[in-house]
Amino acid sequence: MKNGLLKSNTLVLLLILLAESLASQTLPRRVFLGIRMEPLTEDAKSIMGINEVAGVLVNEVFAQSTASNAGWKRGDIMIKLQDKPVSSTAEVFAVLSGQKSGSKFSFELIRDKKVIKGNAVFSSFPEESYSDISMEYTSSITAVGPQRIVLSKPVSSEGRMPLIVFIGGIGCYSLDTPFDTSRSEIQLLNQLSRSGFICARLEKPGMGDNAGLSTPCEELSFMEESNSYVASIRALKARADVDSNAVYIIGHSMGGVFAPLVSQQTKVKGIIAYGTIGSNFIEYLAKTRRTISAALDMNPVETDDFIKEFCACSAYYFVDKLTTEQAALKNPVCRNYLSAFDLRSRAYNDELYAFNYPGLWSTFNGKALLLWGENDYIASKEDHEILKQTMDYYKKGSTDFIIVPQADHGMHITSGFQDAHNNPGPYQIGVSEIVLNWLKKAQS
Amino acid sequence: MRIFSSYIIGLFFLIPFCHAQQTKDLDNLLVSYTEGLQQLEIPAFTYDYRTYFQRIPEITKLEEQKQFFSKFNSDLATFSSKEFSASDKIAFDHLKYECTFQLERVQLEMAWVAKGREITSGGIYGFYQKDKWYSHFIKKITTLQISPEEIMAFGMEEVSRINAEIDQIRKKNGFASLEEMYVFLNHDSFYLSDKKLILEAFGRVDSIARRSLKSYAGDLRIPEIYPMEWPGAGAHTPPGIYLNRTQNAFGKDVFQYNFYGERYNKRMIEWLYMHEAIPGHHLQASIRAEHHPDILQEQSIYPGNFEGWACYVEYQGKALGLMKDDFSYLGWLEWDLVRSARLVLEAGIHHAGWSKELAHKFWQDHIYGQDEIADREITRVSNWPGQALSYKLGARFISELFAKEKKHSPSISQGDMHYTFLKMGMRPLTVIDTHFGVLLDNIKKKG
Repeated sequence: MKNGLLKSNTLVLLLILLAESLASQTLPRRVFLGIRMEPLTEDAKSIMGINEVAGVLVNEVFAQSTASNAGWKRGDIMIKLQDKPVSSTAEVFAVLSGQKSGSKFSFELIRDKKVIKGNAVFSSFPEESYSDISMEYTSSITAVGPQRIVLSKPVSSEGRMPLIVFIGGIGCYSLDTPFDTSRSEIQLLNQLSRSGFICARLEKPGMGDNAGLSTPCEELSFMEESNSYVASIRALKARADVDSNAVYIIGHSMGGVFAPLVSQQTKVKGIIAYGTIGSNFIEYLAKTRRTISAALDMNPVETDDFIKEFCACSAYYFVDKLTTEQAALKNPVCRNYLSAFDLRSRAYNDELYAFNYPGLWSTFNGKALLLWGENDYIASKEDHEILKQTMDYYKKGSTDFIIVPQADHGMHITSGFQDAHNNPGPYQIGVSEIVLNWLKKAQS
Repeated sequence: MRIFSSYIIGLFFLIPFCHAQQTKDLDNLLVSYTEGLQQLEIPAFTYDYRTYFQRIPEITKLEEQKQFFSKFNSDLATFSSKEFSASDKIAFDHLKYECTFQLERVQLEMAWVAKGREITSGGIYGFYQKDKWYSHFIKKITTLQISPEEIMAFGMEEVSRINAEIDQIRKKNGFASLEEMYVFLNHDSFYLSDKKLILEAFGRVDSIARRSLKSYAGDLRIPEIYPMEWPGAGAHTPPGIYLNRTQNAFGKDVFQYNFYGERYNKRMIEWLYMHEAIPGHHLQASIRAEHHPDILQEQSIYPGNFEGWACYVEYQGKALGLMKDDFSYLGWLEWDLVRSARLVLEAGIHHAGWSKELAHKFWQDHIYGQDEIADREITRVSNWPGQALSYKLGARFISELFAKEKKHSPSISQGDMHYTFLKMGMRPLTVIDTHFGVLLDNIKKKG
C-alpha cells in the first residue's frame, strides 16, 4: 500500500515535472496569412460597385506571406476562408486560430467583381530577428495549455544569466508581435538583453501561438492565468542558461498584481511593477476615473458625475454581483462603463475585487521597484505610494518608488494626460535606464 | 578652312552627344542614389518628432550616411549643368538640394546622439541645439529658410486679418455678437446627417470646380473622385484626407471626410472639397502622374509643396464660383484661422518655449467657438514640429511665385502658371523657384 502510494506520488511528480518542462518542440508557430484587413463599409462597397457583397477588404498584402504566395492583391475582398463565409476581421481570426502552418486551405476572393477560388498552404508566423540579440521561441506546458515564451538574450552569452520575466496587463493581447517591435515592452526587454539579461515574454493563454491550444484568455480566472505564469517561470528556472537565483519579474499594469502572487509560488529575487494597482479594486477605479476624466478633458461637473455613476455601476457589478445587462437595467450608462469588464471572465473580475492588494505584497521577501509614469492616467500614483508604504512596513528598505518623467501607462513619451490619451509617442527610453540602474544595484 | 569646317561639324555633333551622355550619367546617378538610400535604411518619414528621434540610428550608421551623401555631393560637382536640358537641370538641382539637406541632418543627428539621445516632451524647445533643430524641421517640411520670428509675425497677421473678416460677416448678417451668430449656425439646418445628402453636396461642388478647370489649369481630363466616410474617424481625426488609387484598396481615387458624430457641418463642404479634390490634391496628383515623375520625386516628401498647393487653391474659392454665400466662406475662414493660429503656436512652442497653458491662452484669446479642438491642435503642433507650416507658408510661397512671374510677364495666364507648377511635381519649393520662370518662358515661346 505504502509502495503503491509512493509509486502514484512518483507518477504525479513526474507528470508535474513534465508539465512544467519547456516544450520547445511541441508548440508550433501560428499561421501567417500576411494581410492587413479592414471592414468592408457600405461606402467602400458603393465605390467598388459591389453593393451585395459581404466580406473583408484586403488593404495590404505583406511580401513573402501566405497571401502573397497565393497571389492575393490589395483591393481583394475575402469572402470565404476554409469554406466558411467571413464578413468581419473577427471571423477571419476565428478561422485562422484553428489552423496549422504547412496545412492547406481554401479561399474565395472577389477581384474586379469576379469570384476567384483557390487553395494555398499556410506559412508560419515570422519571428523577430536582431543582429545583436539572440531570439528563441520556446514554450512551457501549463494547466491551461501550452504557453509561448519569447526569449531574448545577448548574442555572445556564456553560463547562467539573470532572468527577467515580463508579464503583461489586463487585456487579452499578444506579446509576440514581430511586425511591431517598437512596442514598449519589446524595446525595454531588448535593452535589458543587450545588457546581459535573458528576457522572457510570457504569452497570455489563448493568445498568439497559444490560440486554439490553451484556454481562451477571456474565459480564464485570475488564478488560472497566474498559475500559467508560475509554471512557465519554474520551467525557465530549469534552463542551463538561467541563474535561478537571479529571477526578476517585470509586471506591467495588471502584471504588477500577478507578480507578487506568482512569487508566492516560485521564488523570485525582485519585482519591478510599472503602473499597477495598490489599493482595493473599487478604490482604484474611483481614483483613476478622476485622472481618466482629465485625460478626456471633461469639465469638473462632468467629472463628478462620471465618478459617481461609475462607482454606482461598479457596486452593482462587483458588490451585488449583477451582470452588465442587469446593471444596465438599473442605469443604462452602466452598459458603457461595465462593458470593459466583460472582456474578462466573471471569475477573473471577482478575484480582482476580492484581493487585498497590499496583502499580496506583504509576503514578498525580495527587492522591489515601483514605477509610475507621471502621465499615467490609468494607474494612480497614490497606489504606488501605498505599495511602497506596505513594503516599508513589512520589509524596510527593500523597495524603491520612482516616478518616470514624461511617460504614460504604456511607457510612451508624453507631455500630459491628454497627450497620453490622444497622441502617445514612442517608447520612453528613460524607463530602460531606470530599470537597468536598479537591476545593477539589485544584482550587486 | 577645311579643318575649321570639320571642327565646326564635329562640335555640332559633339554638343548633343555630350548632352545625351550627361543625361545618361545623371539618370544613372539618380538610380544609384535612390538605390543607395534604400540600403542605408534611413527611417521612414514621420511628422512626430518623438518617433523621429527615437529612430535615429547609432553613430556608425550615421557615419555611413555621411559618407554616402558626401560622395554624391562630390559626384555632382563633376557635372556641368549648363549642358543639361531644362528637366535635367531641375533633377540635378533637386539631387543637390537633397544631398546638402541630408548632410545637415546627419550632422545634427550625430551631435544629438553624442550628447546622450535625450528626447523631451512638449516640443523641441528643450533639445540640445534646439534652434538648429527647429530650423531643420522648418526646412524639412517647407524646404524654405524662414526664421521663427517671421513665422510668428505672419501667423499673428493672418489671425488678425481672418478674425476681422469673420467679424465683417457677423456684422453683414446682423448679429450683435459672435456668440449670437454661432448659436444661429448651430441649428440643425446647417448640418447634414444623411450621407446621401453629403455626397450630393460634394457632387455639386465637383461640377462647379470642373467647369472652371480649363481656365484654372488647362484643358484636362481629371479622373472621377469618390468622397467616402473616413472609417474609424474620431474627434481627433482631421476633417479629411485624400488617397489616390495607389494609396488605397478601393482601386479609385477617393477622399475621406470625417463624419464623426454623424452631424456634418455644411460650412466645410466647399473648402474641404477644393482642398482634397479639385483643384487641390486630386488635380495635383492627377497631373503629377501624367508627367511620369522621376525616381527622386517618387521618393521625396515635401509637405510645403503638396499642402501648400491645396491651401493655395482655397484662396480662389470665389473665383471658381464657390464660397458664394457668406457661411460657406465663413467655413473656410474658420479653418484658415486654425491654420494661421498653428503658425503662432509653432513658433511659440518650439522656438519661444511656450507652455501648454500659454498655448491654450493664445487659443482662447484668438479663436472663437472652436474650444473643443484646442487641445488637439496644440498637441499636434507640439508633436509635429514644422508640419503646420506646410499649408500657409507653402501657399504663401506659391502665391508670391505666381505674382513675381505675372509681374515679369504680364501676358502669362493663370492657367499656364498653375499647370507649370503642378507638372513640376514633388520638388523642393526652392528648386521650383529657380526653374519656374524658365519653364514658363518655354511655354510662351511655344505659345
